[in-house]
Amino acid sequence: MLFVVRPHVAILGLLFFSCAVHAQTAQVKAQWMLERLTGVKWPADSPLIAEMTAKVEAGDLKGAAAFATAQDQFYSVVVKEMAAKMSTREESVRVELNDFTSTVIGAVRDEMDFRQVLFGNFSYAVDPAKVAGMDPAFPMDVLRNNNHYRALERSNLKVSEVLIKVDGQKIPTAAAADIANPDPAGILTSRASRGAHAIAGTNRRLVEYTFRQFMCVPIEKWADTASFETRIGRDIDRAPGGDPVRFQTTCKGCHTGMDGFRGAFAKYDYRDMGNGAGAVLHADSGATGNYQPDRDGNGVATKLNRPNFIQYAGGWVSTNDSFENYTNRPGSVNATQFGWRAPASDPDAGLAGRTTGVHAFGRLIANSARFSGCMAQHVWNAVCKRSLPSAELDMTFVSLGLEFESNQYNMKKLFGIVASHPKCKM
Amino acid sequence: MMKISKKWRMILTLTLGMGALSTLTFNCAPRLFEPLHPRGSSSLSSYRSPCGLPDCFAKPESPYAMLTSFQAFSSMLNVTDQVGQVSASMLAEYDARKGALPDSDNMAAINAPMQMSGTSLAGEVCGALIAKETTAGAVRKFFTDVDFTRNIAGNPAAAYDKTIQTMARNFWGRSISSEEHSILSSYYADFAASYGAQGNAAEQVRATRKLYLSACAAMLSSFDAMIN
Repeated sequence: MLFVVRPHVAILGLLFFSCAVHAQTAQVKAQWMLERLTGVKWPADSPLIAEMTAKVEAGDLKGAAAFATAQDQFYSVVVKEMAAKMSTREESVRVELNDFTSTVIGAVRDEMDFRQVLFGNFSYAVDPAKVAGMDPAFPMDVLRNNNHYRALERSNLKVSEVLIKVDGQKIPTAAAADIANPDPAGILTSRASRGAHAIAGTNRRLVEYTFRQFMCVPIEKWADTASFETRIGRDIDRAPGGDPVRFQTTCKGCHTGMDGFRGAFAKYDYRDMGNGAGAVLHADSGATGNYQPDRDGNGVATKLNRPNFIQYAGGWVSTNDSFENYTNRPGSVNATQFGWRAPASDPDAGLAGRTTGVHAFGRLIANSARFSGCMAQHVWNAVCKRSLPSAELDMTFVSLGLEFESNQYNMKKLFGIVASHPKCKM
Repeated sequence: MMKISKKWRMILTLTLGMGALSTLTFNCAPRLFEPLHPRGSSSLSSYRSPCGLPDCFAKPESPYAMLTSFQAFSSMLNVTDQVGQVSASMLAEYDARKGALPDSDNMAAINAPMQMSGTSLAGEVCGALIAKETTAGAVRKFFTDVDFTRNIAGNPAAAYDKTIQTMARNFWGRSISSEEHSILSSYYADFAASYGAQGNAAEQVRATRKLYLSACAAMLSSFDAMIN
């Protein structure tokens, strides 16, 4: 009836209704994006949402996301929890702020080439100038306990404002001056990472979790029984239960890759000193006493070769921190899924050219194609909080990984790209 | 048999009421509270949801995700304008409750201890909010028209109405619905009848603070405040 009698009124009404719904949809989208990128709720009438809504209405979703990633909660809540899951064995968010999570936060904030967090010679800590004169004095020791980062988290300081890049990783000693880490590798050699994976054990967990967290692949998905067993240690029985076939068809699959890479960590250990104290140890640091790992004549941590637990005398004995990549066997599933590439030039001239140790291992991982897709996956989980149908899973992360690379591995931009992705929000 | 104090009975009643409402709106009848269309007033209240009008803030669309313990605490601080003002008592409460709060975004993590812990933590945050807004010279955002030096009867009901609408917009990120408004209005009436005239004059004045503290804690720990 309205159309017949007053068509212009009806059209105007429809236009008005359409604009109102569009504006409301944009507002809801902006609010959703803000809440997901900051991890907290926001008042509906927040001016921030209004600014983001205008960007959404203009079709500039990444511009809208930039407002959200400028908030402290983006770092102190979302990035922190994403990193927290990667820093512990339990993959839990219930972990205090630590050197691992702070370094990830700092690298995201500074829009650093994110590959560097796996091999760079730096960490992030509180800028002493920002806490000068605090009462009680702000704990500054970051090598022997987590008090520094705990104090930051429990203070009213803004994490994104007080963290500062500290060049040159250190190893603690009993003496007054700490020693330069001979083999620095970003968060891989952080106290939190070592405390989670290098404590006790045989340093295999360090390899397993590096692949789990930075390649997003559990050990059973990269097991390869057709690969070499050259570097499998003496502590692995070659005929478990008297059955050599069992070794060849099961044990070997995981150990070939894991033990191949394990040599990179041959000089490292972690010592728990009780009451939350503990330190990263390196055999070549020159530290003494409690800060020196148990090691053999070659300077290799005793737990690598386990002389008191020899199951197969012909097994590999590590004499240095060299490693082999047995996951790049031509034609293998692993070669395809990891997408190994020659590492780009090392920004740290003093460490350039290394082919052994964790620094070299970290560079290898960070330059693989899989690493980029994996970072996209972590960001996706942190922001979208929903899984994709398996048919779309790999393609989405590969595509986001490529976009990550084309943005010079800028994680902050990746968060914006993921939050703007049409499949992130159903 | 363990006796439950009046205060806790009151908090539990409100929490369970809000929990039931949240469950109803989320799981069973999402269209009942469809925010994009104007709705008539409920039979229990004369409040009319502003949705459909320019000042409406619609309920975000699913899928939702739970806030983790740290996210929930950070969120409570953010929506009450207390970022950077965390007190030792808030931290102590968070430390005591975080174990029962979610460690993931999984909705299956919702359980009774989680809801109780959320209410307890929200109580601490709301207590600090009231203290902050009743400080001399403070600019009020939530309790703008409330006179905490008077008893409940001495304050206009409109002050309560304004407060819960402000809290909904801030805590839930959307406008309050007619149904939610009617539940909170019923709570106001019950509270005023039960506690408003109880005890001496000083106790009656303290009841005003208790009314707003309990309403704030319930809203700040309800389902829509714990998801994004």
